[in-house]
Amino acid sequence: MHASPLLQEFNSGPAAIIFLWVVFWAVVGGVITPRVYRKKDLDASSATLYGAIAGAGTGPILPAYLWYKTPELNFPWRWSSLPSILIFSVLPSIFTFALLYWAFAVYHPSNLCVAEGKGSYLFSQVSNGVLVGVLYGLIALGLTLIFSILGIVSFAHGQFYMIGGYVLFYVVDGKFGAGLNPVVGLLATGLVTFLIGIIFERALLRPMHQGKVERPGEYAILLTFGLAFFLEYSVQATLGTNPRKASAILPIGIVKWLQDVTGMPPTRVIGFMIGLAVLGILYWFLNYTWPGKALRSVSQDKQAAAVVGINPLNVNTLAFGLGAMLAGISGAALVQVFTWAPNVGAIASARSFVVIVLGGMGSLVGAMVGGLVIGVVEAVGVGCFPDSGRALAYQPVFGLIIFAIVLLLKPTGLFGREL
Amino acid sequence: MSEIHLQVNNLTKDFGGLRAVNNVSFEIHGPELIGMIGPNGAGKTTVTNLLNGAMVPSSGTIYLNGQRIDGNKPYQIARVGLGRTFQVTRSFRRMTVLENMLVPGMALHTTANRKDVGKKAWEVLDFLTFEHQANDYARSLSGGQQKLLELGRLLMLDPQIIILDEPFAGVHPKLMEKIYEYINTVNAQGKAFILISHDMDTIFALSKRLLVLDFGSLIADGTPEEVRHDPVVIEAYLGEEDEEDVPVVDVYHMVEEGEI
Amino acid sequence: MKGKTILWIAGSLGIIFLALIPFAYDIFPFLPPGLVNNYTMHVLIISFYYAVLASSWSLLMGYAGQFSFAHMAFAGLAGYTTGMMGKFWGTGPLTGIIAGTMVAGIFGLIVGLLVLRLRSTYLALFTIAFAEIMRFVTNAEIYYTGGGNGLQMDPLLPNGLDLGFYSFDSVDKIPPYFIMFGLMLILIAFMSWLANTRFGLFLRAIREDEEAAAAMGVNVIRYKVLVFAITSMVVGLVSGVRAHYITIISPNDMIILWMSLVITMAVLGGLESLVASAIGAIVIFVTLEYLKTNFATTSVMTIALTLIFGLILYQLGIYAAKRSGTVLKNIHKTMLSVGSAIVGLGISIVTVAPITTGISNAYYDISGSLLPDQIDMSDWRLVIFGLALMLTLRFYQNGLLYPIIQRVSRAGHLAETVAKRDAAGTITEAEAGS
Repeated sequence: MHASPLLQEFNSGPAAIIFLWVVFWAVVGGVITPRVYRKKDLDASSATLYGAIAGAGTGPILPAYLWYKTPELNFPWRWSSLPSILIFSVLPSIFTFALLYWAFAVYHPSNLCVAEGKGSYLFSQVSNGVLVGVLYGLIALGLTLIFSILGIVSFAHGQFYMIGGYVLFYVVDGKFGAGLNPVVGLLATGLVTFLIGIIFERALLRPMHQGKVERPGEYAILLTFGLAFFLEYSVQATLGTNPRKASAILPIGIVKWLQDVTGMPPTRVIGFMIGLAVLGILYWFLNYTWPGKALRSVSQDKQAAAVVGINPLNVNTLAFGLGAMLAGISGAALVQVFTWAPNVGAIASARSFVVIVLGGMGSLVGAMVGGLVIGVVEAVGVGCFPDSGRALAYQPVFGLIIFAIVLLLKPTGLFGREL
Repeated sequence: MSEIHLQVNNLTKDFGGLRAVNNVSFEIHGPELIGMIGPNGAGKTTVTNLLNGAMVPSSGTIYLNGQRIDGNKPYQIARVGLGRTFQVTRSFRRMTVLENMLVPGMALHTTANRKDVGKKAWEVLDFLTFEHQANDYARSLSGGQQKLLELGRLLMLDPQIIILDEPFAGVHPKLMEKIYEYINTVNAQGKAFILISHDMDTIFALSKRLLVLDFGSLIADGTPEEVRHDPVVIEAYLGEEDEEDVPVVDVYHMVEEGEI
Repeated sequence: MKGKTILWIAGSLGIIFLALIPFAYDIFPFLPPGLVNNYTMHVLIISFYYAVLASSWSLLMGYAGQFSFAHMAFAGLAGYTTGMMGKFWGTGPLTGIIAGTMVAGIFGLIVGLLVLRLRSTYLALFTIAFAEIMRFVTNAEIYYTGGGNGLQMDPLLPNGLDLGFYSFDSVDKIPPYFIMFGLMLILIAFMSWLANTRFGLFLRAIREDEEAAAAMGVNVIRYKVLVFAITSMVVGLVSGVRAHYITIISPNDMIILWMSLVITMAVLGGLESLVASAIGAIVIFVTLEYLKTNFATTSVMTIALTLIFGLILYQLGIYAAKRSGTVLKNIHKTMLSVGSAIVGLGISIVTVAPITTGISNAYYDISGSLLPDQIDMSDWRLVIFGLALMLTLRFYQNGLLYPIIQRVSRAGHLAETVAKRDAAGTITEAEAGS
């Protein structure tokens, strides 16, 4: 038998005990809690998830309380449910992280993330994660917007993100592109992705909503998948696979100033600010403009919206275009942070699926929270993984594992409504 | 065929805080023709779902011919001899009529062979005068024909008790006659029926015994004549007067006119 | 019956044709040299592999309605199992392939059990996550899997093959050709047989309506899990053989691109027919391979312009017919499309030179470099297939091949049905009237 040479410098025994303790109680909580709830004829749809979290964080303590008292576990997004959210989801999650952190510290004492006096390293990882997380949230917001209106998940979402990045790069970059003002670049990005989105929706998705398609669900998946294929390789064929990276899109003086003030990578800060601005505009659009209100009303009740004179077909088109545009603008904001190649879209797609499933399909707040969580998890995961060589290769896996677990435990996500 | 005996004891189903079915007990002996009526939301479909295993009762027991079936999976219950249709027809749309019929036939026995089942399917299609469409896709059938197809599928399953959920809704009058005929013939062959319908005229005309549900409770169980004069039933329907429920009128109509 | 006979004859001829390809020069010495060589053989071997993949995906998706992206992950799993067993325990290809098949089947069983509750979109998302996790893990665990460089393994027949009268060495293409070809035939026959038994019948019922199927006595859970396990084993088996044939497996074999290729093949062939999707896979893979070269810009432009002009003319024709109130039969439409293609070709031959010049001038103005006179199709061919996937889905939801097969096999049936219906008479008409 060969053993991995990497494993020998670590302290795996005691760490494994802590780790197994967490896993054991998570499984116990996750398996027994829904049974108890079902036995008492209560809604068990969230019991698996919260049972597992409770077990992981507190061992037998909180699960025992859940089994004994069987409190209501579906928290509507309201202030009054804040204490329950704290007790049943936030606190045990923190305990879980603390336990795993402890196990990790025992396992690999010299790791930068756990070594004493290196708190700032962990902090910088977390803040990096938050900065990017807002943009992850924004991409997913587009996807969840499309889902809440059209009822489909677009598998080409990441490709819009990729195209957005390229448009900004070629409009703004002085060497390869036109060298124009970044604001023009952002507007162009929004326009291009919006147009591609509405043309696609109009031409190929609309028949689905007119009842011309035999298997709408599968049709939508396959069709958006075809679009992803088409967009990715169109870009690859025309622009090549050479990786591109935009320099910071603001004047160098401001960039320097940002770096001094925040102490964080300026490109990420700029991206973060673009993300916040877009969020603000989106909020205004959805709440104070007629098309925005139409969007929201259709997402709540299609028939009622149709009765008051909103054409749901046009709203579908608008929603798809907007969703694509949000992805595109996030790409534009991140092209200065990451290296850009035609295949970044696939990873972004996968990541947005993770985010919307985590946050709950169709929930806008959930998409933002999910984006922040995934941003932090990825940044911390990569920064702390014991073997830096493998860490980067594993970057998307951290999110995907969370994703698979959430899908299995509670397919409607943290803030999702029943479908 | 063995004697049919379905025994439902204190059946109860809660959804969260809502009690959808409350302590319902009844028995079926032999090939009875039973109608189940009740206002919207009285729990008729829930009772069906509990009987066929699509839902698990919160408490209470169900015995079919002495064998306890509550808590069993729908496919097990279907094989034991309790078949149902759905309120909204659920044919296998992208399969031909014949294939639709083969599914329950083949599922009934693990050793079923396609030839025998096919032969039986043709007999059933013949009985329904449906064989000219045997090779059509189910999706190309009209709503009424899909109901007929569901009835055919049930015959292939060869159950002892057949629950029909709204078999007459949206059906062309000519097909309606065919469905009457189907129910009477199959009933005469020794199978019990539970009919659920909003169509009071039909239910009163067809069934020999009525179960009346209201707010999840069984409020009456007797012959149509008894039920018609049952003060509790009249009360239940009267109580809905201001909610503009049509059945109120129907019941009174029938009381005055006697037989329809 | 007659239609079925035609299909049987066509199928047997196709099989004989493929079986004779390696001996093309022995039978037809006058064939031009270079038509059949090692590269052709290689392309065909891999296309057989894809045929099995597409076919099994059809069983999973077209029959059972289970939308899974995990197919390539199961394939990779089996390939890595045999590769790692060879690397660490020194087992031979046969043992490894069998073990790989088993491992793929077990994982298929587990995934099938896990996803019981998930439907369409959620199922697709979960299987994507599973596939991506598998790929990233193999990419990262370099010690075990060789990482991005891939994992080397023994050739399929490490010592060659000695038939007594003729012997092949380990790099000869003929033995793997027939192994893969035979496997394809056996596996597709096996899956078609399955699809025609109660198993296939129940899968289709489950696809249409799970609850109704359960109410009709079908054990839904058992069949859903079984179909995952069986298709995974089928995929695992061919994947193991393929890995040993090309003697390497890498995480790149599991990227979503290959999965989308399998999906495109199955959709274009026809999701609801195992044979149609297999034929679709062979045709598409061979086409894709032969598109992987450079083409002269002018000829690509000519083809593109022919398509554009042809489509415009066709649409104009349809529009004109509509305006004049003419009802077009299928034969007229076929004639119209052939006619517009020919005229379109004529127009494009005349106009291709000025248009190309115009485009290349514009390109020069924007980018400052000349338009290359050769176009590398390696990327564009995938663009074309993405487009083909979308258009097929939109306009030919049953695929391109399957409707033809179905029409041939059901020839005469339609007239028969109509006659029967006329004889049966009244109710149908009353229904139609209502």
